[in-house]
Amino acid sequence: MRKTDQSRTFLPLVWYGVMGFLLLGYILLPFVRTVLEALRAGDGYGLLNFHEFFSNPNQWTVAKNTILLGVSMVVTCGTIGILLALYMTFLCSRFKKLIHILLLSPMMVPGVITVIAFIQLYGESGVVTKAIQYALQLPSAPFVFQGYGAILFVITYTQYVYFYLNVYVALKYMDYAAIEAARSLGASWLQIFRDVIWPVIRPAVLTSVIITFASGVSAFSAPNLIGGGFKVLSTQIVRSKANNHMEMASVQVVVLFAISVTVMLLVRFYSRRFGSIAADRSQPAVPEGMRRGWLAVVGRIVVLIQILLILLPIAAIIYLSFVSTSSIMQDIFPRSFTLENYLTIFRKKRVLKPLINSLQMSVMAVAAGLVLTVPSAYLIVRRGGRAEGILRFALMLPSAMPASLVAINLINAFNQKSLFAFGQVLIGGYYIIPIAYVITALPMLLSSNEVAIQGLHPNLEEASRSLGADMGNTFVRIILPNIAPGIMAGGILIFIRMIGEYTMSALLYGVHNRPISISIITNMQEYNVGISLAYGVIVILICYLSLALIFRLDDRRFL
Amino acid sequence: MKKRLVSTILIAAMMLSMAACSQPAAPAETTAAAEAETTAAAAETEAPAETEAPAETEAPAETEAAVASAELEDSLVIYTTHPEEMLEVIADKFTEKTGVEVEFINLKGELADRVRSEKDNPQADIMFGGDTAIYKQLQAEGCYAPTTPSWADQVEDGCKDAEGYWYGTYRTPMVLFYNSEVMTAEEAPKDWADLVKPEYKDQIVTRDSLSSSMRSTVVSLIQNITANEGEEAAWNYIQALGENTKNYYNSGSMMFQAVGKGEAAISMAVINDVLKNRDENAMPLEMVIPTSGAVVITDCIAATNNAPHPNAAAAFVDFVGSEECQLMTANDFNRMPVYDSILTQCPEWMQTEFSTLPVDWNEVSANQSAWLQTWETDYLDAEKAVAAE
Repeated sequence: MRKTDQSRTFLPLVWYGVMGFLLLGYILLPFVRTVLEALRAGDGYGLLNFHEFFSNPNQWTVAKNTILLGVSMVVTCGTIGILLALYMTFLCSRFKKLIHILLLSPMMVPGVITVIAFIQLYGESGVVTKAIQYALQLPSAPFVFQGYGAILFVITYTQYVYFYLNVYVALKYMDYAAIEAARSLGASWLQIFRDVIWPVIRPAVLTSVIITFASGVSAFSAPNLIGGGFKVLSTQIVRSKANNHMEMASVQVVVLFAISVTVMLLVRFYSRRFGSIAADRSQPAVPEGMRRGWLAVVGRIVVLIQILLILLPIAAIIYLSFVSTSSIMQDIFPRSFTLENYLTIFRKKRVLKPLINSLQMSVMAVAAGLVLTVPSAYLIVRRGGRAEGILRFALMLPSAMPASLVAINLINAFNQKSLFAFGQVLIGGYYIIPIAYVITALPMLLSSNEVAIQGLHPNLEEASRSLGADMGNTFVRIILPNIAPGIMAGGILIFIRMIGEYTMSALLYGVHNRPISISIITNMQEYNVGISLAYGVIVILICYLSLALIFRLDDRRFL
Repeated sequence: MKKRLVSTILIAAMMLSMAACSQPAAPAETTAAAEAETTAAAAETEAPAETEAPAETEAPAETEAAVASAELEDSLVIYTTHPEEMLEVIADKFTEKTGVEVEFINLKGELADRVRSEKDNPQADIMFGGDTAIYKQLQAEGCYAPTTPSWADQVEDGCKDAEGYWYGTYRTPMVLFYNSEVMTAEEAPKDWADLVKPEYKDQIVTRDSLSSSMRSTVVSLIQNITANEGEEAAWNYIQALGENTKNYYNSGSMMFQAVGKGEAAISMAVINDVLKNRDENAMPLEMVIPTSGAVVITDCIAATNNAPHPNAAAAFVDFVGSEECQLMTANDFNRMPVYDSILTQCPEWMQTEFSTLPVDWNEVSANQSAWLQTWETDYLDAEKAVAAE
């Protein structure tokens, strides 16, 4: 009995020590370093660099563009996501599951690949652009696929998923009887939405606003590839660094962080003014009358367009990956088929390596992330004291950090020998990318683990303990096997997000760990578009297989 | 239950694989493996040499080769600005000759920054590509180790470092070009100064600030104008050039496509890219050597300081400048050799005299960080692409 007591306090203490060391060394202190770098003025510290930034109207433009992109993304993604969720909940009756999965699928395609697919479709010589041009007999392309509009278009079609999924899940807790009642009292659809539906989905919408805004301001692949002269902070950070102005890169990344945190706090503040509406689920069946009428027709058209827009790029990538590069470059509707692109990848070690690197590094990141977050989540859920509160805060901190900030932090902290890396320099080495992946994965893994652990009945553990097992034993033999499916599902989700990661990779990659996203871009820039697209197809395939695995492990996650 | 079992095993496997991650101290595992192989390989080559040498007299060439490769490390890492297509050919030739496995990445305009930020922990043995100004700057920061390639004496003084820290490898002229279906030779600009004329408004496209050659061109023009007319005139020129520029491209292929399709008629690029697109892709392009001279970028090479594979690095520097390699890159990739003696065996354009824009690369070296950042933040037009829509 005494031994058990000791282990109950001793094991967590060790854990807090380990976590404290890692979180301090890899998240907090690197951030402090970046702030210090931004404050560096000559030999001392001061606000000189910030003054330089804020006194330059062009830097203001960059900051304004960044905010503009974040806000417009919230608007477009919000509109599309909420509309789709409403349609799927109230109006969709046929092929519901299939459509739902299709609507979720943009999440499965890494951003870089989406952007390239969009360029192939809507770019100056894109298939869609040319088709429109020929159909309407226009002398030149009907639109320029570059700048603000193009970026917004691309990101909207990948990022609306957050809004859609969150609102869709929230609507499951909708009391349909209330809608019926409002209808019979003669309320219009607009009134029903405002007074009955909105209060229910508000928390989900606000969460989505935070996530979407954060991903909008830190978006990198779209502004980098099709931004033209539309500059945002995330792309300027890379350029400042390339121009040997690390202090300016640090200032820009701190400003980006400030923008993202400010919006997050504002939304949190706003959402705290409303309590969440606890609706009892009464009748899940949707009243019949709603499925007819013009709303349903409009909804169906919107969904059809959306699915077309989702499938078109994927179809284009797959199609073009079987076409020779010279045909892609010269023919407007390429038709000379070949397996060459795939054969090159699997025949040449040098070309295959990035794919293997990405697989390895993502798996490593998921494994390390789970090892760090599963015990932490357990302690947080079961103990819930002050120490656990601090641990949770620290683990969730990266969710407020744009990807470029995480990368710049690591560069500032580990481009010299560091105590936290046991006296090694990490920059330029292999492990710096998996480390960055782990850091960004922590918040998502933690929340997914918490959910899994909350679903576990405490009686199980008490039974184990009363039978004489200590805390460690109980955790490994009873808790882990029971929560494994939920945890694995979360892990696979992270794997999917990391395999095509571009923003951090672009700042951190080296010769030993070049990930596939970088190779996709390099090949495209060096006139090997075919290989880029074949890489893309392979990654999409891996992601979809992983998604299937998630559904098998944990089918309640999305449906 | 079965599902659970599988998951548990997976988790356990992942935890085991953590053993590898928990020591972020070690550089890549591959390095360790490579080292092990090196020692093994060294042992293998040494052993037979000792036993057999006294007994039989082998062909001297073979023993020489064996001795040379025993001194070299097993692998070599190159950071470059050159296309991977060209690097692959050079690397394969080098591997064929020495047995050293070569890895490389094309870092484009970020090359210097990478070498600099890895100074305390160099991953690359070779920095290959980029102009003299960059090499002077990084040499001053202590990023290089000196080498003594056999061809060093043939390179003229401005194109190499006196102490051997870096050497020029190619002379790369940056020229103007235009779409000959869109404008005539008379309408086309003749010189850098013409680019800012009002008639060329929205007729020019260029690469963006992450292109290595574009960076060299901009700082060269700034330095040249500053020397003649003062820095204010230089920035006025850059401003006017920006006003006439329709778009900036992240990728060379997209920029050439834009000119090829007549979206804009005029652009600038290194001569080998213009020739490649004109001859291989049959694009209607005409080249213009500016009357005040082409910006001639001396593409350099250097071995990094504290390189992981210093001997292989020195051997590679020697190889890149060798007649064999220089002729191959000249004839297959349109890279003009850094010394004159072999030009007669090179493509015709290299044998024709062309004028060079006078640029003080020392000045460029001292100022380029500031100039590039100013160009980036204040002159590359942020509103352009938006306004174009």
